[in-house]
Amino acid sequence: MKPTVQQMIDASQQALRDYVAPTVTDQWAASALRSVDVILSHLLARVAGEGPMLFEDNADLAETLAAASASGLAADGIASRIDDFRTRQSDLSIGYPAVDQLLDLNLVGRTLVDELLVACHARKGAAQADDLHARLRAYLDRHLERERAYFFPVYVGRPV
Amino acid sequence: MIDEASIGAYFEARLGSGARVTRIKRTFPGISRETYLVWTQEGAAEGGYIFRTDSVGGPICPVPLEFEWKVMQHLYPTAVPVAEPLWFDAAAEVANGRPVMVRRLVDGSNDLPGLYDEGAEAAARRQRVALDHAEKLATLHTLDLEAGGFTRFMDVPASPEEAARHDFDLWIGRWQTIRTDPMPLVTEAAYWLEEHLPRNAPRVSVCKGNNGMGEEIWKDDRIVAMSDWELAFAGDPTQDWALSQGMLTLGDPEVTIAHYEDVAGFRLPMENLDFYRVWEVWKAVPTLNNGLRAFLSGEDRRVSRLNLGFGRVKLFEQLLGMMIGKPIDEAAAIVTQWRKSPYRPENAAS
Repeated sequence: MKPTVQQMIDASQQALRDYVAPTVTDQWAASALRSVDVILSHLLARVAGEGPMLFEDNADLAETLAAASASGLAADGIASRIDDFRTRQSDLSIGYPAVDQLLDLNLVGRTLVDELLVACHARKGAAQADDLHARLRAYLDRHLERERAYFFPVYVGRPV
Repeated sequence: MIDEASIGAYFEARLGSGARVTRIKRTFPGISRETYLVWTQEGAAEGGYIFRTDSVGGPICPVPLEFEWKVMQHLYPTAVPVAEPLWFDAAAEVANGRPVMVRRLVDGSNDLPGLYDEGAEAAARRQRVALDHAEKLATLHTLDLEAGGFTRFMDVPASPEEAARHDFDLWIGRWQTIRTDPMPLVTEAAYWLEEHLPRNAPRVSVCKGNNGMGEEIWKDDRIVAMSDWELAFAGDPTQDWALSQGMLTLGDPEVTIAHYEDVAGFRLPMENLDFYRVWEVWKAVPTLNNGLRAFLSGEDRRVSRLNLGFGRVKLFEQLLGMMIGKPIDEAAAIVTQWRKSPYRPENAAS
């Protein structure tokens, strides 16, 4: 049996807290150590969960963006990029994708959501736009919830 | 980071006449910009200077050092206390081509030991400190922008009604240029905030941006120099109170604001404060995210830049997610709660 990545990060963090932090007197070194401690807490939360989270988020994006295509609000340029996103998302659903591939695709999907939000606000008051806007907002809430543990409360506290 | 010997040689060459650098101290934390205190012997006299330059890879905040230099240059002849600006070098050799600003060192400290002690005496002292800060802000906020030359280099709203809109447009533009990730929730939050832009600023003022505890130089409980002008802007003076780093809760807020209004000669629309408290959370996203660009490009891989430009930004995104769509006063209450984290100076004693 080998130690998990989380156990290894946790042990490293504990070693820094127990043996290194008490001996550091230089304020820049102490600040760097605090930053490293926060990054390790972030990684502890992110390493195990990021792959499945992105997989789920990309599937959610594919569904949300399909609704955008169906609404007719996506301009031609956006519609073809949505099609491309959905094809890539479908391809990555087969086998075991690398986290970096999921991350790249997620960026593409969220960029499209960002552009669609702008389009919805430009047509605010129109039923189709408001309906799509509600769907996009619901996706944003789900995305935020999925990422929450990586940043909150990890990054709360002294900033440097 | 610039080595001290190079800074020493730079000052001795610049000051001439046998000036000798006797001591150099780098200020903490200096992540966005590096700042050094420099002491000299110039004949029989002793001198003190502050040397400030961008960090390698550029500052965190998306505002050029030259802007801060110009703000200080235009404030120095006024009644607003600022350190004397001495020279600006747009591409200094000592900083490998980075801009450098030098001002005179002011005798004082950004720390007020014992301010958060228990007891009536300490409470009275806190109120006095708050009143002094209020006076200094009022002095700043009543400057004539046109006569003082600020309109020559600052983006100025067309009218008080346009003050919030002007700041909003300025920062939306910056965000679209500098963001390292689409962050659609931040876009959505901007649309939500746009619906609540105040239109009742009492006037267009020179505003400081971050101000109050930790931002100014104090001596004998009075501000002797207002520092860090990189986020200065022309806008609604109420906005500065949303960035006053605990000064409103230092004493009785009503007493402090009443004193400010007496000195300023106008009333603050306090309902605007809630909006600006939330707006400043939004503004923190582009301000900090800008710092991540140099990390991603490999110019500066310091962990502090990574944490501010990425982790802190994502934390603020989470915070915006908690507030978006709520009435502004409820959203501002969330910000107030969130700001009660232990590192804040006003909470340090508790």
